[in-house]
This record gives sequence, C-alpha cells and structure tokens, in this order.
Amino acid sequence: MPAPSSRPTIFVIDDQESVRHALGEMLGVFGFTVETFPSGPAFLEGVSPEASGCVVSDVRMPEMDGIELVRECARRGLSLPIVLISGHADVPMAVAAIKAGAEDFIEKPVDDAPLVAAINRGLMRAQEERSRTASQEQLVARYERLTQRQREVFDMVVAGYTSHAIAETLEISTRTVESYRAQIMEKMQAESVAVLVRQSVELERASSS
Amino acid sequence: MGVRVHFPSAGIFPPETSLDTSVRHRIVDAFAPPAGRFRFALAAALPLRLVQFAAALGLYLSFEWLSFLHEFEGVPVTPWNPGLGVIFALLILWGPRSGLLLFAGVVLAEWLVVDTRFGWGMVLAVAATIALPYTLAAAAMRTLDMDRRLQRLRDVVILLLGGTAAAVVVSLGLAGLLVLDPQIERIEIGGAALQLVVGDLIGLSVMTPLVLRLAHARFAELRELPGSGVLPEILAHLAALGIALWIVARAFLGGEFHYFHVLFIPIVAAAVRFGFDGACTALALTQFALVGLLHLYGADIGVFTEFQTLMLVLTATGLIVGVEVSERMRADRLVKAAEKTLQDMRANAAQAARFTLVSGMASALAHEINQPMTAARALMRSAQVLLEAEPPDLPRAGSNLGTAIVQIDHAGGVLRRMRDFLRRGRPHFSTVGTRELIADTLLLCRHDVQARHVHLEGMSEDDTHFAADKVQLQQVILNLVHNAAEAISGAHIASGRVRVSAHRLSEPERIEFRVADNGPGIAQDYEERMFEPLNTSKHEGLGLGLPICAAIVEAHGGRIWLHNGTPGSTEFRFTIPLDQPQGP
Repeated sequence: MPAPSSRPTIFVIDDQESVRHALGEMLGVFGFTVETFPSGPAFLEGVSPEASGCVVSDVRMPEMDGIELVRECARRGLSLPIVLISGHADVPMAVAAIKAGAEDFIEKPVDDAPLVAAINRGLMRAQEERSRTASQEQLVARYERLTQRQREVFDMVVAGYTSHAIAETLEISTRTVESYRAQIMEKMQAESVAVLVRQSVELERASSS
Repeated sequence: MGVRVHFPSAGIFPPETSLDTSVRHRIVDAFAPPAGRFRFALAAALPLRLVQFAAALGLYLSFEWLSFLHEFEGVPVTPWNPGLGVIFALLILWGPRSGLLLFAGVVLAEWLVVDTRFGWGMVLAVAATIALPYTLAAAAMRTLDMDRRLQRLRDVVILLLGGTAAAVVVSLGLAGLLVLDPQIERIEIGGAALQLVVGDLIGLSVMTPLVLRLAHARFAELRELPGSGVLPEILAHLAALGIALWIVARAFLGGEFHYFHVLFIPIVAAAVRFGFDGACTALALTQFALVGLLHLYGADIGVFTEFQTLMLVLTATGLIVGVEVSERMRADRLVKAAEKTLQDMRANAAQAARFTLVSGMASALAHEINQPMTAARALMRSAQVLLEAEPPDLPRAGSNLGTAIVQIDHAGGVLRRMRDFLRRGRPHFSTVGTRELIADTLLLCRHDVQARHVHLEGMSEDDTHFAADKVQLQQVILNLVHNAAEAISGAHIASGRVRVSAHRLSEPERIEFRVADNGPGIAQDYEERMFEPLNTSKHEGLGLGLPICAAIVEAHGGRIWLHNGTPGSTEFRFTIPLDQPQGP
C-alpha cells in the first residue's frame, strides 16, 4: 500500500534552462516541492515509480515532445497528472494533448493562476484515485480472509437469498447459516446487508480493473 | 440575285451594282447582335426572328433594286451577286430555315424588281432551283463542323468549295429550266451558265465572309486595340487602296483592265496587317468600287468576263492570305496568353514562398519571445510573493528580479535582430565588385573564425561588378562562414578550414559564390528542411540564419543550395544573376 503521506512533488520539464528554472522558482515560492528536468527521457529516468505529484512540461522539445511524454507515462503506468505548456498552442495540438491524457494545456507565457489551479486539480484527482485504490485494496484483503464456505454464503446473501434458502441450497442448517452471516459481517466490518451489497459491487470493480 | 442569266433577245436583264456604306451599316445593325440576345429571350425569339427575316429580305430586295436602278442599256452582264452572299451567310448562321428567305427573295425580286416576263410556275421553279442547292450546301457546311468565324484555312476552303459546288448546280439547273422554256429563243446557255457561276461565286466569296465576320465581331475589342497606331494605319491602307483603284480606273478609260494586278498590293497588305477581317473589308471595298466603275464607264461583255476572272483570283488570294495571317495572329495571341499565365503563376509561387517564409519567421519570433517572457513572468511573480511574505525574502526576490531583467533583455535582442532583417528585407542595390565583397566580408568574420582556430581564405577569379545589396550579400556569406566555423569547432576538428570563392558563370550570366568547409557535414534529415524557418541543428540557434540567406538570395533573383553535405567537403553555393531586374 503506497504511503499517501509522502509530500507531492511538481516535476518541471523544459529544454530551456531559463524557463525551467523560473517556473521551478515560482512554484517553489508558492510552497510546492519542485524538481526540474531538461527533457522527457531525463525525467523518466530520474523519477521513482511510487512518486506522487504533478508534471508540468513544455510541449516542443527535442528528443521527446510533451505529448509523447504523456503517452510514455501512461505506457509505464505512471499515474502522475501532466500539465502541458506551449508557446505554439493551437487547437489540434491541444486536442492531441487532451486525448493523450494530459491534465490541462496552458499557453506560454504562463499565467500562474490557471497553472496552479491545474496543478491542484491534478493533485486532487490523483489523491482521490489513490484513496479509492487504497479502500478497494483494503476490501479485497478483508474478503480474502473469508473461508471458502463463508464466500459462498457471502455471494448468496448479496444475491438476496434468505437464510432459509441458503441453508437449503448448501444443505446445512439455518442456524449454521446464521452463524456464517455473523462471521462474515464481522470480518468484512459491515453493519448491515446493504453495506455488504455495496462492498460486493466494489469488489467486482476492483477485480475487473 | 434573281435570274440574272442574260437573255440577249429580251434586253431587260439588269446587272447588279454597288451599294453605299449606309446600306452596309444596316447589315451590321440588323445581323450582328442576334446570337447573344437570342439566348436571353428564347420566349420572345419568334417575333425577333421574324423581324430579322423581314430585314434580311428587305436588304436582299434593296440589293436587287439597286442592281436594277443602275442597269445600263446594252451590256446585260452579271459582274457579281452580293445579295446571294449575304443570304448564304444567313443560311450558315441561322440554318436551313433561311432557305425560305432565299426562295421568297427570288420570287419577290422577280415580281417587284425585275418585272419578270416569266409565268408564275416558272418563277417558282427558278426560285426553288436557286434556293435548294444553296440551302443544302449551307446545311452540309454546318454538319462538317465549319467554324462560322472562319478562323482556320480549312473553314475558308470549305466555304469556297461548298459555294462553288452549289453555284455550279444552280447554274446547271437554271440552264436546264431555260432550255425547257419554249418562249426563250437563241440562248447562249453555255456562256450564260458560266458567267452565272462566276458572278455568284464572287458574291459568295466577297460578301459571305464579311457578313459572317461582322456577325461575330466584338466591336468593344476594337477600342481596346493599342489606340495610337491602328486608326492611322487603317487610313493609310484605305489611301493605298484608293490609289490602286485610281490607277486601275485611269487605265480603264481605255476600256480594259490593264493594271488590275496593282490591286493585289493593297489587298495583300490589308490581309497581312489585319488578317482575314482586313482582307474581307478591302475586297468588299474594291469590288463595290470596280462595279461602280463598270457602271459609270460601261464595258463590253469581254471586259466583264475578264473582270470577273481577275476579281475571283484577287478574292481567293486575299481570303487565303488573310486567313493564314489570322491563324498566325491567333497562335501568337495564344502563345502570349500562355506566357502571361505562366508568368503569373511564377509570381504567385514566389509570393507564396515569401508568405511561407514570413509566417514561418513570425512563428519563430513568437517562440523566441515566448520563452524569455515565460521565464520573466514566473520570476517576477515569485518575487512578488517573496516580497509579500512575512518577513519578506528580499535577497531571493532581488535575485529573481535580476534574472527576469536578463530574460527581458534577451527578448529585446531577438526583436532587434528580427527588425534589422525586416528593415533590410528589400535589397538596396548598388554596384558591387566580387573581390571587394569577399575581402570586406572576410574582414568582418575573421576574428570570430580565428577565435575558433579555423583557417579562413577568400578567392575571386576575376573582379566582376554587378548590382546587388552589398550588406545583404555580406550577411549571407557571414552566416554561411559562421555556420561552417561553428560546425568545425563543435566537432573538434583540428585543422579546420573555410574557403569563400566567387566564380563568374555564363548561360545565364551569373556569379556563383561558394562557401566550402571541411567540417562534420550536414545530417540528411536536416538537409531537407534547412532553408525552412525554425529548423536548426544547433543548440542555441534561432533556426533563422539559412531561411534569411535564402530570402536575401531570392530577392536578388538567385538561388541558394547545399552543393555537398558530406563530412570533410561540405559546400554551400548561391548564385546572383547579372542581368536581374533592379529590385524584387
């Protein structure tokens, strides 16, 4: 389980030293932790896979342009949001950027307000994503603690069967079913059958993703 | 035309005669404009067509009447037949319906003008004998795809051959009719038939082309002709024609055409200068003048026959020379139009290229300005935050502001360089010598090149002087030398060498400048785009050097290219034409 406590970092990528220094300085003064890189490949090499934060990258760069960088991050499973900035912003480029999965597309010279808004939006989204993943993982762990028999009963309970029906199907006594139900509720930390149903939906989503 | 076969016993067969210019104007007014107007008012076409038919009929009858009016006793000949020529033109223009016009014309002429002594049956038979062959001949020409504007020799030949065939058939038919008529005695049918053919043919060859040309004439174009020369020339031609006619008339006093051949001069001259239209007009004028002469002074049958023959030869000569000249003039015009189109296309292409360059430069400019602006804005915003903090971080804010100033100065430098180029975008021509140009340029860049430990040499085979913008050409050479030296030092080549030379070449006369170096060469993928803005192989380059070089060289009418991109023998070349126009 990744630690959400680690402070988010802003990764500034621009081939021109003056620009990446200035953007880094501004974001640093705003209170962000900043790292700067001269190119997309340098960033991919330097960043840790567990890093959390947001990328701010120029579009027009030699070696790898910003849109390629967005695709490459997706390919590598880096879940960092990426804000692209460009002095040659045109509609086709913006469309390509958003389609590739960029968080936002901002024109140079960059106005700090929309840049910071985009960074915060990206961080928030990443945070939500992360916490949802975390709770899903928790749920899966609880589910995995159930025995085979308990899982069978779990599936039938959330499918809407009564204890009596479950007992008949599984050819066990109703009393035994009731005791399984109590164990399941306890292990899954569910207060009611309704919560169990919601958990089963989440579990299905987690197993499919 | 009517039956103009002469009947010596009867003695009342009027010859035809001239008509004055006012009548010719009526031809123009009545027949010239129809084509366009027809298409507009198809619904109202029938009444208009009727009016035109009536007008044509009236014209035909007035020709007949004029012939009759000017008849002179004792010489019953038919020198020519202008009315037939006009109707034949209408047959070609309007189609077989005009055959009825010819038929009606002959009948009415027999009745109203000639006061015929034929019976009605004979009159109708004569009219049909005349109308049918001409109608068929005109219809055949229409199906033969004859151009009605008579623009090609082929069209004129079809017209003359078709007309001849029809005239022969008509005269044979009429001769047959006359033989059958028991009332007519002692007819020299053979001679009469021949004379009829020739008279009809002259009418056809003089009047039909004239009417066809007038029908398609666009008088508005006459005004667009180069005004000063044309009218005096027309007057000169008319004067020449008048003099020739006067010579013929003087000689004619003796009763014979002694100097007829003199007429070839003005006719051929008109044909050569004004093509088919000139020939038609001059022939018609000559014909009317000579027929008038015959009527005034009288002539015997032998003279008339001779006149007819001479006139036929003159007409054929004039028409054929005229149409040949017209064809050539038209071909010339087409060639000129094609050349102009080509020139326009070249200019457009050059314009498009310039536009691409300018828009490319604008894009490069935007990039070069945007980067320092982005940096400066971010630095100043951070300085603002640092100053507003409690306590304010003054040293850090001050440092950021200092860096921001450097960035703004950088943007200013980009703008200044761009402005310098744009201001000098148009060449200021003066006379430049190749030796002086190379020597001065090398002086300017020697320091920079030698600082990179690169050897620089210049050479000009001979000292050619030419018109160019010296500063701009220096800029081109400086740029190429600078690139070469930079590439050499960047690749750490020990015995780097850059050589600038000028060579005078011919066909076309031009000077070729060569900048060669033994640097690392040019990457193939960069080679294709090197003259486009924003493409640069350098880390600190604007990507504008070579595009600007290309723009300067093109503004001088020359071109620039990479002659060799291989490592060790890289060479750029550009040419400046020696006979190029002053200014782009």
